[in-house]
Amino acid sequence: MAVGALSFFAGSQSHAGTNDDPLSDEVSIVLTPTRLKQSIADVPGSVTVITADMLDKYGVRSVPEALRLVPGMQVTQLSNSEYRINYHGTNIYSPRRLNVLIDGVSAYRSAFARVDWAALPVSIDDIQRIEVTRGPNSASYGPNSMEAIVNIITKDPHATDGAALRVTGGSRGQREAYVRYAGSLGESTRFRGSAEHSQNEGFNQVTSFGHLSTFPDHDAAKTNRFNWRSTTELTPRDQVDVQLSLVNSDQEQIASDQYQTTFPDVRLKENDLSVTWRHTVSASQEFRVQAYQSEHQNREGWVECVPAFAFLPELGALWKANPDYVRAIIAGAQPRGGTAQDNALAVQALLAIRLRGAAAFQTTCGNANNDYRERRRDIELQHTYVVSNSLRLVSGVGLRRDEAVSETYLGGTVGNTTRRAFVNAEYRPFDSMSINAGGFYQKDKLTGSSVSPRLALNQRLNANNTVRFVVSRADRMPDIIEQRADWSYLTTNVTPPVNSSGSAYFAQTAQAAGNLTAEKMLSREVGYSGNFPQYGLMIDAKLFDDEMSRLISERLTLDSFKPTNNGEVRLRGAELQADLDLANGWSGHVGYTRLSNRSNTPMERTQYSKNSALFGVARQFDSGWRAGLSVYWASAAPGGQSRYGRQDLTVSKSFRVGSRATVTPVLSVSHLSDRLTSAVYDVDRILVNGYSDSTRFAASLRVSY
Amino acid sequence: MSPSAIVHLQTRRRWLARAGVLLMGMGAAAARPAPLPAATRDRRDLVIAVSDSGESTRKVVTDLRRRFPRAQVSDAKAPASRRAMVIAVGPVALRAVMAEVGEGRVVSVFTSSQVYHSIIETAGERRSAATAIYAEPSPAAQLRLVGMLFKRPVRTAVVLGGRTAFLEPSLQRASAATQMPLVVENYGAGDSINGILSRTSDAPAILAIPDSLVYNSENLRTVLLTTYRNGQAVVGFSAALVRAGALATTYSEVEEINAQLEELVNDYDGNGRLPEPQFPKYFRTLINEDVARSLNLVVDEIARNFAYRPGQR
Repeated sequence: MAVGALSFFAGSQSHAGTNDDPLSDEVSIVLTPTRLKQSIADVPGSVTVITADMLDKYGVRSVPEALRLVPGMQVTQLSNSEYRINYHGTNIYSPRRLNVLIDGVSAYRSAFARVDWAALPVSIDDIQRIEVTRGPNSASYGPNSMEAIVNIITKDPHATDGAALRVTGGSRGQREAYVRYAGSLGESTRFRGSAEHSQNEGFNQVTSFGHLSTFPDHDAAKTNRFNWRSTTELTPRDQVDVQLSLVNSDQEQIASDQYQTTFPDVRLKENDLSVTWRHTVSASQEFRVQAYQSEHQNREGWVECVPAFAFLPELGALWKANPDYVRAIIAGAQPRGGTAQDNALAVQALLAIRLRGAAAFQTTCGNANNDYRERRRDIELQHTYVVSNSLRLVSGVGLRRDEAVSETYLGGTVGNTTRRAFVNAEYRPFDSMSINAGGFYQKDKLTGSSVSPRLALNQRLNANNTVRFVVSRADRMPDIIEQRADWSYLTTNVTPPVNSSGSAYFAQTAQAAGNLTAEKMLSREVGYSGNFPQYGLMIDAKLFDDEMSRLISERLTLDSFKPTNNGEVRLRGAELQADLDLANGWSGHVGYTRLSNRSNTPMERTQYSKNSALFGVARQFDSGWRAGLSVYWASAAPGGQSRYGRQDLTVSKSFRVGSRATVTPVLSVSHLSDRLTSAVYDVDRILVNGYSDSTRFAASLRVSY
Repeated sequence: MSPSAIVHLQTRRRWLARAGVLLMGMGAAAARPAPLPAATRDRRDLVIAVSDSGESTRKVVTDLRRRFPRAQVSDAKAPASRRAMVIAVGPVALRAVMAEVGEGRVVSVFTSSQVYHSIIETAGERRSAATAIYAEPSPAAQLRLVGMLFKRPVRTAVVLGGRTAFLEPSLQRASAATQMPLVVENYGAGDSINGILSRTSDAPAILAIPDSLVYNSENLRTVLLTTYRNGQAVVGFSAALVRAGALATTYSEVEEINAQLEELVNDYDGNGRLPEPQFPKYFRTLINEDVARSLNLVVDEIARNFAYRPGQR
């Protein structure tokens, strides 16, 4: 005799012909305190979560378009492949203050301080959710998480199974195909592999950056992605995730000036590999090590035809000494006001031009490029320790090596090594109160060190209502170009040859002074979160006051490369977000932002909507029908930015075929309030892009088995 | 984990260690024995069939003997009087009893519905003389608990395997009664838990019904992690599961199951009719407060105190 209930069930096994009864299983703690996320009421900031379900029901087909669902996020599409995205706007030319993570791997390329939104190494179909922390989060994620952080989380291999297929066709040559397979490798490994091809023709009309003429129908893009993610349970306490992403993208681009005689189309390649090891020490302690390597290659070449004197080394030397002298010479004016050395160089340049006579003005053509490569290697150790029911600590250290290679931008290779350490604590002295305090320290070779602290107090007024007070400092470290640019164009295959050579440097060049410091932000927020489950309603509202200083606001071009830390902006306003989820199939998502931008330079107001709003409502029917309507609106701004208005309607119907297969046809209609949209390109310079028709269609067929 | 939750779980652990069982993994803080109804008849022809003398079994038997002082306690393998009513404690005892030839009624307790039906299916003529009080929580109570935790009707997915498919009608009735929209996924041959979780990922709540085809020790970790990542709440089916990361469950103490058994026996003595197998009628609730907080649920005392006790109206 012996036992108890465990034997009750064991005794039934042979008889029942089944495995053990789950009632009798003792399950070790899976959702340990270290794994549990903070509740919205305890989060030290405002957060928007875009789920895969929202992407489906609102017919969202790309990450940048998904960000239109985030209140206050300013999304400007300059061309098919060129998005400028800032939380609360500011500088459209250099949207460098927003960090993007894909499963912990940064898509923010710090060498060139940019995010290739149109070619992110993730398929929209693989995304589980996008968590956007609206506000500075440098204290947790470090510099460059200055305005906000976009955290893209892909579907866990355990959450997908079998095959999935999607084909899409639509207006402007939209063609997409996506295929995924998920399964098991042995007993301890789950994997998901997906491949995607997408292409479309983009805008009908795209304004050239340089000379403002329009180029019809040269805005197409083709992108291929392959993604792999596997999760292996080495032991019950150890889990290893491996992710591989491969992307290549061909992006048409219009000429940036009248001297480019072929389009400077971009061919982009990216490959990322990351390995994450998670070791659970106990229910209250966990270590995580993540190492990744990201390589990015951008090839952008064209043929340019310029007067031969533009390649004269004497003119190049004068440009380096005093660009205004060169501008005067080209304008036929007398250069003046410079140093004796400038005058001497000007004489040499003029002499060189005269010596060549008419040949100096002969049109000379050759190949130039904006090619560059970037490589990042990063490793981070993170320790999560739940000290007690009221104290939780997350701390870590990291090391990153960035390398950028570009003959054009850098004259070779420039590297940067960054060390970092961070600690964040959540302390709950009472059940009704949580205090989040932490900071991030970073030191890099090019700029120096920075510290980003944050202190937040969340006070629950009752079960449904919480107020929060947040003060934080955030930084953005200057990128490699801003600090180490050595920008010049070596033109090859020059015809006719210049100085008997088939290659020559274009006279205009730019060199960084290397004396920039980190951009700074002091953010204050008073927030409110309401959770009213009886109505399926969650509300987040906040008043914010963000002071940004030492901003590098200048538009950096070859003609004018003078970055400074002189920019200042003060962003104040109010923001509201509400989410509704009812059992009868209705759901909704609403956002509104009222923004005031006061800056000492117009460049920091080049992306600025004083009022912006979004509205989404969807209905899921028991019959498998689903309909979603989303409306986006952002006000115009003085200086040339037009208003933006769009209404999307998506209707789908899911059919079950057999017990496991699902077939879902989807139809989306998108209507732009204004067929043409304008954006500020530079002070007093406007870009106008648009479609020939304000309504676009897309139809998809999704099959999963 | 909040202090209150810790106390709850530690209390449970001590009880489990002491009992060596879980009495279906459902016990929690030890409950005081309910007072015996004065009308309880003491039957001479009542046999309590057990398959072991483990501590948990002894606890069950001690309480049953308090309720039925003249009942005989017998090894399930030993033949009982042909006409005796047999209370089979646990599946081993049930299997042994059902293998015997007899005319008496059989009441199964502390056996899950899935195992009960698998045993009954292969029993001979005696199957029509058997009924049960299942070990697992009542789906109707669980659905009501979902409603209390979410404070509104939410779409609730339930996965049924071949051996629990018979529950669908009762689940649909419970769904209609509680106005909780129910999404029933049938777990068939060739299905995987990952595929099922993928298909049910848009339901805010998952009602877990114990079915070894669907849930087993190998995949419970996957189930809890995946549903949590999806932001879904798992309700069910045992305290062990709640401790591991499910949101909540209702559960019944030994004394509560036995009180229901006592009522069943008394009713049978009164009207001679053996009722259909039934889920536990008396229960209380266990909530993982940390998971609830992380899922942004507002748990109130109504949910925490959701219970139905013997003598309660």
